Amino acid sequence: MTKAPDKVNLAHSTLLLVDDQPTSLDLLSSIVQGFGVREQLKCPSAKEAVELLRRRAVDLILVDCAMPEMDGYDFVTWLRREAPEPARFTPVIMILGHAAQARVARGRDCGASFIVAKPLTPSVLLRRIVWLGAQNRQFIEAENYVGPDRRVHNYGPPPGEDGRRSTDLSGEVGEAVGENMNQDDIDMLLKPMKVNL
Amino acid sequence: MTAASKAVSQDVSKPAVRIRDITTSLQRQMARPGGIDIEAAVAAAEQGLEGRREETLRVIQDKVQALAAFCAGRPAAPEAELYAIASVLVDTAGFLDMPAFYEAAYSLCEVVSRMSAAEAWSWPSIDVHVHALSLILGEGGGASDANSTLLAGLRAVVDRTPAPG
Repeated sequence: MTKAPDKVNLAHSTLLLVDDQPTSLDLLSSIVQGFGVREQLKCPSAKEAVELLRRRAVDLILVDCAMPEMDGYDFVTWLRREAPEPARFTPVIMILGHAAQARVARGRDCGASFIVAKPLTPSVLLRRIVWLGAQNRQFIEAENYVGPDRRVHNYGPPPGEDGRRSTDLSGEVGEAVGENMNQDDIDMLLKPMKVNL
Repeated sequence: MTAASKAVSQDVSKPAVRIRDITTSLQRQMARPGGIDIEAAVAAAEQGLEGRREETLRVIQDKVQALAAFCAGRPAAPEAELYAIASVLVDTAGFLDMPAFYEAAYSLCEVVSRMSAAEAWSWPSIDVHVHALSLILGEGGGASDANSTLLAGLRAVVDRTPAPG
């Protein structure tokens, strides 16, 4: 199995942090500072983040879901549908406090790259960032959805990653563990057969 | 910063779906030579959080006191404000290693959310959460036998509250 990366390089990246809670914003800032990020921009509201992204692009956005006026979901919807290119392709990690299942689904459907539920540990957050840095997810533009391909579990986690759920498929194709089907069985599968309807 | 992009296919059937291969600037920046060990990055981030622990605990204490004062006033239509305070507790405690406090705050969010959806308000269910939050915070918010007992009680309260749908 391919080894998981043991280094992370964020020394050339700009991160945008969006959270209306000053304490949470500072704590998030402390975490990404430890990751060696070159530049971090902090916005106390989604509306300020919108204004900032109209002026300049960033490499990664970490946004809290629950905010007054414009919440994280509306912000990501705006980003994916109305922001100028290349800002609209920017990876987004949504951070969710009280994580009702409907909110997770809403985050996925508004175009977030990942939703990370609290409690938030630096280890989990960094793994998601490394994943975003390593994985090519196609970008979907449809009437009802704009954002990274939501069928991420079909691709499986990047090599070296254990995945997030028990149903995640592996990115590695292993050796065959059983005998091959014999040719007669294969022929039977392909043989046209008369059926009574 | 530019995102190299190319349209790889375009489905002209209705409704139109465009699928694009995008290499993000994050991917390009992270692929550059250099970097730091992941373990070292995580350790530095944890150290940064630890450096803010005391001031964060003070913020949480203030919020718990505000929560108790709010509930003591027995306001009419308290759902939105109560959920907002509980959400801040979840958000803030979610950064620190205080699992028992986090679970109690999360439980308060859940019970408020359920009672709002069911339009069945119960102040005793709220009060027991507020008391539990104060007690657990007084012990530092970590796991302990006493906190486990308190949390079991909160789970029973949530279980008795009808879930939405």
